[in-house]
Amino acid sequence: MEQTRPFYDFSIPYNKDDSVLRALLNELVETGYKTVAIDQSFDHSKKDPGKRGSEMFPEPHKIEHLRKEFQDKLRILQRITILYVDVNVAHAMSVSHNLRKFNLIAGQPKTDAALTHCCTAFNGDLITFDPVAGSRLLVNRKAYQVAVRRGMFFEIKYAPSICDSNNRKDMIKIAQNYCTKGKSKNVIFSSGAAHEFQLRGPYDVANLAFIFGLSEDQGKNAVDGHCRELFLKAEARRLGKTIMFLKGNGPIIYSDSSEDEKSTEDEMKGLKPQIGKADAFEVKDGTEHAIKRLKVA
Amino acid sequence: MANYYYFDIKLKLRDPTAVALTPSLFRSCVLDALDSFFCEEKPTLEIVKFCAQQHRVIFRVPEQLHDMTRISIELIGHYQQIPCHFEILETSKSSLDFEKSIEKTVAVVSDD
Repeated sequence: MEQTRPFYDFSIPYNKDDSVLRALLNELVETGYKTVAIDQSFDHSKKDPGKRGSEMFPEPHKIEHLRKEFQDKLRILQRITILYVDVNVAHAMSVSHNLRKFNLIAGQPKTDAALTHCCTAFNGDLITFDPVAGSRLLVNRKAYQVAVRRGMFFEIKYAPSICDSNNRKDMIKIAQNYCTKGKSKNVIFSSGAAHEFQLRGPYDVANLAFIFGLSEDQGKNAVDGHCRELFLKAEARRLGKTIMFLKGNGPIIYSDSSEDEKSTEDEMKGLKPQIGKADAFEVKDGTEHAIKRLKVA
Repeated sequence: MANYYYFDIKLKLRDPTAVALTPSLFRSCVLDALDSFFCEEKPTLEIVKFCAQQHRVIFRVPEQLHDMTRISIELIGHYQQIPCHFEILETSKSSLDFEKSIEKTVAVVSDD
């Protein structure tokens, strides 16, 4: 099983400036987070219609240098957030190879139809909302229950609540809707922080459950247990219907087939004298034969 | 006699030299946050200790306002238009002090 450690923050927006991203990661380490996801957005609604089956989604950004730098402190995952307005995204996702390179896939619906699709049929892990767009989209009870049954999680970002009071009201409204329609099941907290001063410690974030309509335990799970479940669900999606998955930690060595055949012949040659000896023992008297059999055994 | 909760706050500012860090301004910032968030009558907030050099503040609020105050402080994102983070180092029902916190820090460092 893939190892991760608490606490989790699954929404660290990617920044081209490594210094900003490095400052964010350092602050995350300092505040106690152990598993984070670098988030990059893709707006499917603005994509020009291309050939059927062509790759539409971008590749993950190269962050290997950051992973090496923080390898003992943070586990850095990669996430894509897909913004879309209709169900045509489903086919594009099904034929995409780049999507399989991401650890997490989040859906950000822009319309009511997209929201319904996101809850009922979206082949991803997470449902999120654009805090700047306000709280126009509110999930209904039935769709929420279907999403929970499918193992989808709903994300609440707290950084917009810090930036602007209007965004704060919208996030609270969305969170209260989760509480009303689905008892705040399968809710996770993420930062969505653009810089390190928007980050808060995991215990402080869990404490925000008070205003987002979650219970104390749900608040703790929102930065710990539910995030672990989300990660495992995402890994299961990536690997498909797999009984066992082996991951090598070192170089893989393949043996030469000719050497195998040669060793087999040597083994066969070695067996012949033993057979001959056994046959000779059978000719002698019973006592010696019995003793010899015991020795051979 | 009313019960109080004490907060030990570390002020993290993007540009500390660009702001005026005074007890009254800090108090006003926290009270404004409480007001904008909970829309209630401004509560009692007493600053017990203030250190501009260390960017540390110890203040106390009535016990019933502990949760609201904590959440309001967490959601403060700007101080005089400068991005900031008011890190809550410790909360306690008993009185807090800078020296005790520093001694604890020194002890932890010594143990390490």
